[in-house]
Amino acid sequence: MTATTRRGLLVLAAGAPLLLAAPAALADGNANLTILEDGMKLKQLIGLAYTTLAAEPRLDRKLRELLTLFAGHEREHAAALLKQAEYLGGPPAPEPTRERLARVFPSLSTLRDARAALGFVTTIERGELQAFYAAQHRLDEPRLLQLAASVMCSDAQHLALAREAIGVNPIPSAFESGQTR
Amino acid sequence: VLASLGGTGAAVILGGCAKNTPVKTQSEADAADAQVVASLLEQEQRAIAAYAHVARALSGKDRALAKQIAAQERRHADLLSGIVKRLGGAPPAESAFSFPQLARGADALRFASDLENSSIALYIDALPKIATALVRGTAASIAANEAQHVALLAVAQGLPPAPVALVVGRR
Repeated sequence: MTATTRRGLLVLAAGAPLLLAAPAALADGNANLTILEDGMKLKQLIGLAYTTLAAEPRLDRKLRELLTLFAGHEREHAAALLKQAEYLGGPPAPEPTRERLARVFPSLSTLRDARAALGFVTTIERGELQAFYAAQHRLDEPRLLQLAASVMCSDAQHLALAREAIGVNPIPSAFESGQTR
Repeated sequence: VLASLGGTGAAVILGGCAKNTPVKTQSEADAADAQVVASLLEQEQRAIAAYAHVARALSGKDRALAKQIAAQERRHADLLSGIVKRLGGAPPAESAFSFPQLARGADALRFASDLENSSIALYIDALPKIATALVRGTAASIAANEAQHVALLAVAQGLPPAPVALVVGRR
């Protein structure tokens, strides 16, 4: 997921669907650790993005509560990934800065109504789902496969709830890997 | 997924097997995967029958939700059945399932929610046992869809829709 996540962040920042590298292109000798570290950084950044958005006073209280809930989940995902990365010998990761957030998601400060905010959330969640779906092809430790799947399940719930809040079909596909808008 | 499982694709998709499993020949790996996928298919068959039962106890929006979910369970079953066949296995025969009587809509929604959580737990348990990466991805995408069902059933019950960050279901 190294290339996937980096590319994903760039593409997410541009507001376009995440493009995935072919699994073979991601092969390296330490795939589990790089997947965990990249996934953790992605989650930390998205947690900060949701927290920032939840502080936007022009959004209604219900939406801000939803964003706060999702932000908490993203931080828990990051913590779970970090724990496994440290177990594999990865170094501690610094928290993302506001400057980095603004660089990766420059549109964040312009999201001032519910439709724009929820559109941002659905794009992010779809990108995360695509990244962790790709991780199912790359990870080779049973507990990491299960962790990635439990993160996917949580992101899929976020996506369904965001779609429902927008007023569109919350479950348009029977196979949720972030491909369906 | 089914197209990728045919012919020369099979060798390619064997990458990414769980590290702790012993090395198997392709046919052994296919047979083992077919067995795991068949057990997931049984759960989908149970879910299809269960939603027919659940829908009878519901009305209005809740009934429409149950029907939409049932249609997705059918999609899961159809794909899994195709995968089992492509891997050289035989899909399990459809059984007659028995379910508890569901007197009220609330009972039906709670029963459906329990069923979905049980499905998620089964899928998450199965993932490391599946050697074929594409099939593993498909199983994860079905688990994610079941998790969405849980969230929407919780909304229908007036419960918190996403109470945990790491969704693993429960038996």
